Amino acid sequence: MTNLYEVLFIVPTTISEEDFSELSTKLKDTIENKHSSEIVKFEKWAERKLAYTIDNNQNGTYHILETKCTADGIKEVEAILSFEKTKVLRFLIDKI
Amino acid sequence: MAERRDYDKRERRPRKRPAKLLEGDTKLNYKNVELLTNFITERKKIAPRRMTGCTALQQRQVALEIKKARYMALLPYVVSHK
Repeated sequence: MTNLYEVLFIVPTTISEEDFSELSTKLKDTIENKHSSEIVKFEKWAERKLAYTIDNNQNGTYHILETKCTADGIKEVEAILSFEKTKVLRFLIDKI
Repeated sequence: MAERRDYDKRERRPRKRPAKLLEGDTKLNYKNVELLTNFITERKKIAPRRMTGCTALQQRQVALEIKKARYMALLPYVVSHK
């Protein structure tokens, strides 16, 4: 059983390119190879000023990940995002 | 004093009903910050139905989406003075 999920997460604007690509490959790898699910969309949504500071960050880059994934898969995505405290400021998983 | 009233007490004053949330193609979503700002007050509180003109169902949905947007730092929880 797969569901369509939308994951929105914020990374700091100061993040280095390697750090971000590491994170995105980790996410892609988990979804596509480990759980053999499909990524519908993975893109930068916006770069904007945060409504309040999060860990002394005034600005943030929002990324959207849309995936057709199993419940176990999305659990693992959640685990990755919550583990990467320095790279991911906030994330929200929405079932659509 | 009490006699001075320029409208009949029994007659209810017509209430303004701005239909900001139109059914149809306007999609309510926490990412649609511009739309959501119509439903918060000056002090960034969630506006009551008497101000927004929402139906009960719409109001619940609006409130939920505002809370999501707040969590993602798209909307503030409080007005900050800096």
